[in-house]
Amino acid sequence: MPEGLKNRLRAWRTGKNMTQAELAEAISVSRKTINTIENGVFTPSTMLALKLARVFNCQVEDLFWLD
Amino acid sequence: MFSTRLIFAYVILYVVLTKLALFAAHYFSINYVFPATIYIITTVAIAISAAGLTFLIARKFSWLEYVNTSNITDESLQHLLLQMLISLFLFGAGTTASVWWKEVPGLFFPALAVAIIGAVWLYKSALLYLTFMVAAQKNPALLDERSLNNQRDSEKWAFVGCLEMALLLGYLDFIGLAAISGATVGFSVAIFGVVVGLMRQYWLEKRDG
Repeated sequence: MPEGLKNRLRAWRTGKNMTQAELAEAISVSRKTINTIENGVFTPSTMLALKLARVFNCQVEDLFWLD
Repeated sequence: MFSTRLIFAYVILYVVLTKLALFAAHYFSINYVFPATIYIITTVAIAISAAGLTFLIARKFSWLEYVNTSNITDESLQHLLLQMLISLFLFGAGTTASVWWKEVPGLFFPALAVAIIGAVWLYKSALLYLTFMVAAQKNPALLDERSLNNQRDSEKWAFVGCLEMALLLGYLDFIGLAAISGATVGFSVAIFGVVVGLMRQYWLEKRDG
């Protein structure tokens, strides 16, 4: 994960009772992509972050923030 | 229905086939049962025919409905990369060993068999790669931004691998430790670059879980 970037994607996903595969399908990416975002290995693009926020009906800042 | 990505896949397939055949021509030309010219002309003719046939088959595949992509998942790329790595290794090792042992029939034929198995498997992998690309057109999630990011990263590694191998072989020749031909440098750089790139991409896909 780039220095200082945090996320709580896993908490939002489990809160909605979604699997990684279901979330991946909802935003047209692979399950691995969700996995790497949750683990902080991959930093998503602005487009992907906005799609994630739309799925959870929240702000991007609720999912990602700078530490 | 031709997308840039699909055309790129065709070109890769075409280049792989042609290079394999030219490599075979070079290989047969150093076995002196018949005059080298016969081997070279025959092999190049087969290469051009095979590449043309492959291109025609690939064109047929461009109509997406003819390609069965139901078994392609987001795990497929990782397995495909592993297949390409193993088959390339078998082909490279078998070919090199059979050139070394061309005077020893007991070792030559097993080595040649390994090279042929590797070549056939590599060809199958190339077709699978084409199928994956078609599947990615239907389902862009298969080749999403993470996957493309991994691909870009592995291309950088391949580039550095080429440089390192060229430097190493050039240096060995320069200081007189080995007399290395241009063909050896060319083949080594090309194969090492591909292997490094594939290994890096496979590792990244495996890491991403």
